[in-house]
Amino acid sequence: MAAALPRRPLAERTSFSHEQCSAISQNSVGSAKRARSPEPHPAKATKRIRPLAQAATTAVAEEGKGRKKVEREQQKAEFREKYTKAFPSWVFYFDPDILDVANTEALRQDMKRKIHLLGGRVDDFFSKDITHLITDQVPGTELPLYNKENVGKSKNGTSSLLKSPIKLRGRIVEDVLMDTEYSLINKAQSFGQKIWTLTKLSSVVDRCLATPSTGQSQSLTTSVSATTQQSLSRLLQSERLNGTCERDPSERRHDFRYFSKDSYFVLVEDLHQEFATIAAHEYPVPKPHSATKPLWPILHCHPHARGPFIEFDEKERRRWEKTQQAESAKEKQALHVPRTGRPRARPTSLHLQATGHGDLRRSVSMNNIRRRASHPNGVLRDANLVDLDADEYDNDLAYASGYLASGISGHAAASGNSVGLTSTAGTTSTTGTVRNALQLTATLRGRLQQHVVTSKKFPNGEREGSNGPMAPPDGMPGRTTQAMLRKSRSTNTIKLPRRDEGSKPGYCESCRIKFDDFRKHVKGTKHKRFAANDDNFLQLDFVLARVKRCTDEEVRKAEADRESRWRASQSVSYSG
Amino acid sequence: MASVLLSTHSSNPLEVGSSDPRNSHYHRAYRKSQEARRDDPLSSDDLLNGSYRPPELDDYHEHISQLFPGMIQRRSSVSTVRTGKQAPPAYVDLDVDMSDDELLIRPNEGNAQTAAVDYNDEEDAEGSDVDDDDVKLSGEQGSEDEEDTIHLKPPEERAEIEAEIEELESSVPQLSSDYKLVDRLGTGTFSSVYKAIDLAPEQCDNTPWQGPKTRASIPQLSSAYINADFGGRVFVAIKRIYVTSSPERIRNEIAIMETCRGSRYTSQLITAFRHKDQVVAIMPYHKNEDFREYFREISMPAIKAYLRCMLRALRDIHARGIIHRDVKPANFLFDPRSGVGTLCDFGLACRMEPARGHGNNTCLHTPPTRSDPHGRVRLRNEYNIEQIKRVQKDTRNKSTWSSDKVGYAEKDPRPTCKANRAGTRGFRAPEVLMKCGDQSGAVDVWSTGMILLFFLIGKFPLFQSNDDIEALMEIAVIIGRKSMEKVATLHRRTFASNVPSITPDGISWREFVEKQNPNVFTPPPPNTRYYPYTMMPPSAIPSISMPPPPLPQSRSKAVDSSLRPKAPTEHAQDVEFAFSLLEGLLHPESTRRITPRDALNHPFLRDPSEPDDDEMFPHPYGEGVCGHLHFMDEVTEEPCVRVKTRGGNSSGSKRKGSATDEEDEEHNKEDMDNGGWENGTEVIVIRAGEGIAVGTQPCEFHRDEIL
Repeated sequence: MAAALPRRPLAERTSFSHEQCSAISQNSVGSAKRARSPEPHPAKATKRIRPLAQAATTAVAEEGKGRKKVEREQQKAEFREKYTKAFPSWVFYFDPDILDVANTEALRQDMKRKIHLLGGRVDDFFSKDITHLITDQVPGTELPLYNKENVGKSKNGTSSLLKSPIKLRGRIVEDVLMDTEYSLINKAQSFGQKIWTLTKLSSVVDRCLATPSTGQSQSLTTSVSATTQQSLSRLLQSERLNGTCERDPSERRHDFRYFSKDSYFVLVEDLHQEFATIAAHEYPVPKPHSATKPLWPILHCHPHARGPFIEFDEKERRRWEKTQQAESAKEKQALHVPRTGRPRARPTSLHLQATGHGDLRRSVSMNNIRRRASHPNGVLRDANLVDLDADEYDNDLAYASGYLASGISGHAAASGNSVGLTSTAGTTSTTGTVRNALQLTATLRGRLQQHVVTSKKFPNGEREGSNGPMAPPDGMPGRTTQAMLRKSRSTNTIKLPRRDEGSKPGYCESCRIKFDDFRKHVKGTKHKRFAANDDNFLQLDFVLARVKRCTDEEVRKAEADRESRWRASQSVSYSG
Repeated sequence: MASVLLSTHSSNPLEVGSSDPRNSHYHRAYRKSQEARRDDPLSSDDLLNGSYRPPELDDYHEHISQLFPGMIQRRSSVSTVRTGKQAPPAYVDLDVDMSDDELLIRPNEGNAQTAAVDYNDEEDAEGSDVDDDDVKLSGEQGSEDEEDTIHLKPPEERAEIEAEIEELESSVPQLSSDYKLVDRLGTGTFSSVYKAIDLAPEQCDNTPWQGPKTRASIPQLSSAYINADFGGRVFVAIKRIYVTSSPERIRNEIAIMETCRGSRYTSQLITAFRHKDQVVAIMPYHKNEDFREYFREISMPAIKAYLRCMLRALRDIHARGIIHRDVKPANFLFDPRSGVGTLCDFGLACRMEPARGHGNNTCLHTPPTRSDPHGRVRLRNEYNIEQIKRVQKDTRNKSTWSSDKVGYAEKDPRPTCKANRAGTRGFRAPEVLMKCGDQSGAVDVWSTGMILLFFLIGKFPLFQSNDDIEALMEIAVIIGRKSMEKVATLHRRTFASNVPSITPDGISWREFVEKQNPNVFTPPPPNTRYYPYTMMPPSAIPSISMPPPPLPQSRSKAVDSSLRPKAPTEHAQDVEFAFSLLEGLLHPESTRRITPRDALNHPFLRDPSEPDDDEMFPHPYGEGVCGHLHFMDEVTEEPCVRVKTRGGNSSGSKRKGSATDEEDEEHNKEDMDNGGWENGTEVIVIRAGEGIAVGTQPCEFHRDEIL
């Protein structure tokens, strides 16, 4: 307030702006709109942008006076230009109490995004730094104030004085003092902050963004004018703050990772660019006539292949023929054996189990290589376990512990649960983190491709060597080596490895530590201490109490109790 | 005959003593339906495949009860009528299945004399049923078998299982007093499941997990819950949750199972308890077979039965705000002989909650609501359509650029998008892969669509999906670029890719199936081991000792026309319907994916002989016609009901005299306003699973009060 007072002399300019504003609100003529653009803008501008705003205002004022009937389009452009210039210096605050109408939240989010886009800032705390208070509560209170002011000063017609927005502030302060009803608004006004409704904000913002694409393309393609240069600098700024959405997409950025030339890629991003890249992956393109199969899925849909993405090549044909043979043999057998008992031996299912995932084998190991290679900084990947939000951390941790007990060891008892198809709560694999073959060293990539072509065997040395965070712990009944070896065995002699529950490595969610040996861990002091402390199970016990199985006796007793109470009440009411 | 299979197990609602006032209604309704069935021994409304499905006569029962209200009053006490051996049924015993499921839909129960069966006559019952039993070629296991399954395993494994059982029994001492562990059913990621005998089921109050007590004219409900009883011995599944799971995770699972009590075809929590860090959950044991054993052999009616059970389960749990998240064959215990399946393993399940925890990760669709269980696309004014269109255009351009021009931030300072992705690879819906923050039951519906794909194509698994990107790309090459971009936008994502196998329009799911299974329109040979053939009379299955002939023509000669597997045209019609449903289940946009309720009404699954699924829908607690009399205790979170005081044996209607229903209601409200049981109402704390209203019926507590 004290600071505002010295500026009072210039208050008349404000009046102009107010007049304009009211004029606009009353008649939406093009000319009025044009005038409106400069005004609120300087008025709202803080000290920091004064020079800019000033310049803008003057320019607009001149133009405006010169030709009253300028083309609408041009006015719009001017509006955009002025506001766009001023926006980076504005700090918005959204009145938290008011925005409870349906859909407002979405609108507000949208506004925030757009403000960012224009280089403005949204502050979560109300302070002096705020230049604009966004509220829906007081249009009624607000307008009269302004109108009154407008009425008073508009006649002066001292529009040229508008150059300094500071006047406006001083003026408002005075007016505001009269208004005691809305403290937040009082405060805002006493700080000389502009008070906009959400509707107004959105109208301003939308007009600023109305044709940004064309404006941008102009700025990129046509010769750079002074104005575009300005907007360009702002664009760059917003780009630095907000990422890529407004930049020239063909321009390479130093902080970007690009897919390699002539590769195939998939890139999933947040539409609003608020979140980190969702998924990115690159597929190297095999050389023409090379035997390397593409790594991206291709829809073959062959009736005899095991899956839609599996090409029915020679190998697959042999596999299919084998399966057919096995099946007809089974049928024959079934014909001869009287089907009195439930068939215990399940040749088909075992066979399916054994053969059904041949391709998974390749891709699993492939992925493991890829992952291990692409994430030398294993810590980061591990960090995924921690940085997930509350909802998910459970699941993710579970995955860690899930490792130890995952169905990999092939217990057919879980019906239909094929080797490769175990539930994962929140695996850290992929999406959300970015895989890229680029990250592979050339040799490794070469080997990887070779690996696909020549042998399905996992290069063992590799595995030991680069046991990245995505790799199962070494002693695991692995998704890789062991599983592969097992599956490679003749389908007739297939025998699931004996499950050794005791020595499973894994993660204990209770103690939040990894362990090498399940049994050893759960018998260890740390875990035992956790287990013995009922406090750790308080919430769980609460639920368990609700699902406790009542004996019939208890139920009968409860019913009898109720009945006796009822009888008692009956006798009371009779006597009463 | 079959009716005597109703064992003395208390899980059978008929077993609850007739003195139980809550149960008496059930008995009454049951008897009423028996009466009705006598009049209609051979229902002709069986539209399924000409097989003798047990007739469902609900509408008829309704009708009858209206015509002859007196029947309702016929209530001889169960114990007084001893018929011993029933008179032979007046018609062929169609029901050769001794499954424990379809207790109330057996036609031979329609016999008036059997209406009040002597339930103690169980031994005889077993004996008398043996003759029928051999129809099921695969051999129905008796309870003896069930107990001894461990001996079918190799000695090595047996020793291991026995050691585990011993260890479990020692780590949870209270277990062995009530249960006898006999085998291991499976091991999962977070738990192992064992088979056990419930040693004293009759001493326990089993009402909470046995599903709502309804009129017997809703037969599906009974089979939807009770499946644990094998000739008097009650088997349970004991889930041992690994001690390395956090207490919070375990709490979540148990609490969700508690919430899901009363859901149909859903694994019911009997109880759960803890000793130190070891938690075990007890559930009914459901007989089932490995999916790979039967999925290529079962017939259309069985596929429909599978999907009906699954979708009913999903409808019910979704209505309770639960997403299963891990729907797959391994988690659906389907018995191909009886055609009954049970959704199990809620280890990854979560509640649909407004995604406030996910920060700004808001999609262009709403979270699930009651009217839009899969959410709906937001209104246009809720987002900036111009901006979205612009970004979409940019993204589309990006897909055409040279790959070395396309990049992404290397050290991205922006927050990582977080979304629940629990589930199994190959079953994850597009929105899960897109990290949608407002996921709904639609993710389960997608997984169900995947299962239908397995059935139609005859392959399992289909997708490789070694990671989420591969999964996304596999979906992309099927549904095409345009659909993929739409999905991406719906979840506020952009999808750019130059992978050549992604075509603009992709292919339809129908095409996807037909290409891989050109024989999809050829009906499979009947497999007598499986539903619905297990429901056929022995005489109707010509080649009992023969396996299904490999070729259709040899088969059709022998089978009498009514039992012949689908006539080709009929089968073709079914396949067409299945395709149509498939497109609904696998709609890439979650908001447009068919809801379980609508799917059950889809021509493929709608069974005209059954009442509408809405009639059989067990409402979430506190909903339905008597919902206003139900509430949750705010402190203990225990369900409570307000009921008329049950003094002595007077029933509500007697007290009311000639009051009309409306007056009745009025009166109730008055009572409630006055509060307290002095005025004729009282508040009873019940347990989750009790007090569930079904369809338009009130729950068991308010049967007298709201009619």
